[in-house]
Amino acid sequence: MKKGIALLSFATLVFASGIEYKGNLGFEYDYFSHDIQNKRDNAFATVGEVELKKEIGEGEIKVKLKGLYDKDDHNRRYIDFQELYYKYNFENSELLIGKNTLFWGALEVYNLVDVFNTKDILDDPFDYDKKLGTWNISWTRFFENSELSFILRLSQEDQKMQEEDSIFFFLPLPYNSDLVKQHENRPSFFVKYSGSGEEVQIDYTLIYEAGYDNQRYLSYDHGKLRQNAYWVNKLLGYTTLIYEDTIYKAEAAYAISDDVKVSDYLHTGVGLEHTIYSIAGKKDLGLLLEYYHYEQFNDTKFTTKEIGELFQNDLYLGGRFSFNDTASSEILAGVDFDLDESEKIYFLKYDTRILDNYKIELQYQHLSPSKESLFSKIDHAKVAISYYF
Amino acid sequence: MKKIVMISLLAGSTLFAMSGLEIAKKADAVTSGFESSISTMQMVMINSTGQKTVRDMVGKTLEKEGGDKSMMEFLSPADVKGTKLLTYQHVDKDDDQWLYLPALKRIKRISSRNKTGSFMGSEFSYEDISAQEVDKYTYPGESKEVPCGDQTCYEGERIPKDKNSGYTKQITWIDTKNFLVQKVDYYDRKKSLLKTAVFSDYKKIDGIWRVGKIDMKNHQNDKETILIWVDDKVKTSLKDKDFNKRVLKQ
Repeated sequence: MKKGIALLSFATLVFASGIEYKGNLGFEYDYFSHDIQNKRDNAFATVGEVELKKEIGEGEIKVKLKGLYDKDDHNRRYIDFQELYYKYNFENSELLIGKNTLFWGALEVYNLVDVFNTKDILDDPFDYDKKLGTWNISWTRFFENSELSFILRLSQEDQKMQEEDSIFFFLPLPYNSDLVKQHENRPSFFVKYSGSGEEVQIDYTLIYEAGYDNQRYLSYDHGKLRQNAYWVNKLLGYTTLIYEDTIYKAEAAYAISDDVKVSDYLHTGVGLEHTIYSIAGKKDLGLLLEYYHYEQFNDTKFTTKEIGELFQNDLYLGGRFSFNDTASSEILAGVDFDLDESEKIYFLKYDTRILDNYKIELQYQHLSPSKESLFSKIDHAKVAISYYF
Repeated sequence: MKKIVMISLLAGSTLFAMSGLEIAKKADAVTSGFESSISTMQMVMINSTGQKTVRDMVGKTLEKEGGDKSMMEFLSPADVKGTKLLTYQHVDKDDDQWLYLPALKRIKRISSRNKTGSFMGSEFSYEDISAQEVDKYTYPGESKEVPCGDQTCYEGERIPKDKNSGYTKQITWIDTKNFLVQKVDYYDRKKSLLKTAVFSDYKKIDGIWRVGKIDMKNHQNDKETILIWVDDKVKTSLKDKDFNKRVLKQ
């Protein structure tokens, strides 16, 4: 019923006047080469997004609807509001009420401080930019070179997973997506301060959270595994510094856990990006280096594997080759070394634009796991084509 | 008597000869004082076979003493619609630049050292589209008066001070009557002629000269980009707060 009313409101908005819109509709085909029993070796899905924005005086209403339809996987057939909010712009501040997504972070491969939204692992468990919208109320005060936000996060989203015969269902037992929360109706609270340097080219952000951790652990319940959300007091920070041709980046999160099964921890990531401009004509080559480390302060509690944290002692090396052409063509290639597990993930991604409105993306990944890994040796190739309007 | 005439002529030419710096200052003065501007622009990129690609964008600029502030929003192609580039220009240090990526809702601080890089795949580099402040160049030698089309121009040389510039020198042609730039030849790091920009369709808006079209031809790859100002307003009521990072997400 709730969804029906929301869809009706959405349709009303589409036909109303003075609305800015944009979106895309596309197809994705995935092929997996693997030796795991009872798992599909391909997936085909139609995916689309529509974003509508209506300005009303100093305020605005924004709606972003995402739809996905998988040919085989019934779990991957859904329509969801990623964003549905009202924002009012005051002279030096803004108030937002509704459901939205935010981006927090500085690094390129994985943003350990990007904790505000739950990841949409049903769409793609390894694309960390896929997120579920979160209901919240936020107020932000803007200063000349900085801003201060107070955010009350009202919801904790269930993380639905793909069907058991999908390659991306890697649990040993069936899964129940109903989230178990440590405190049933308690909202999470965030205070965030961001600023920029005047003499030095630096951006920095500090966040305090009293709320649910972005990490979750699994528990056994009536023959199925369920996710558990636990309470933390957490300090997060991230920064970007530019010195000459190199961009230096860092992220850190220190959490004090309120759950006896989960240890307090410090998660850090550092990285740099150095670009060599105008090679082979007007092409650029960006070199990327990132390192992630996870330190838990009590070894008798859940390990990183049990908590599902993949970036515990990882080194990433990669490069971004930008053609700087009218099609915005780009190649991204790299390798992620898990130094604890002797695990490696190689990937290569190419995207370009054709006929101005179509984007084509080609991807290849090779996962070379250790014996103890949750994953198996997998080669993954993906082709995606999207029409943008 | 002949001697007196010669001395007078020499004195006259010395009196009226203008240095490259003086001309550059005058050229800067006739296009300055706009306070702030909002411009809708169209960029037509033409490849060596004549195939055209069109991009639309809106630019906002705030005139400032130590360097202008500007915001460029891309309206097309559709997949980058809403992408914004915020720049705080500085005369004495690298510019501050942030890029907003709407699909990720990410504001990314980027390096402004990429002077030579192509702007949106066009024949304009980031250096070409940034404000042409007088202090960014040295002006060796004196300008000479030469015919340029129907007009007479001061032909002069300017050399970028920035060691990251993609150019070793630029030759400028500036109208002797109104001090409007008519043409610029750009020489690459190998000192070869790389590009020529022809400035045209000048209009006086609220007493300020504004260019209406720049045609940039690349002599080394036979590609061309035409930048057209579809709509241009000056002395708008834009303030510093309109160039706060806040507006990137709006």
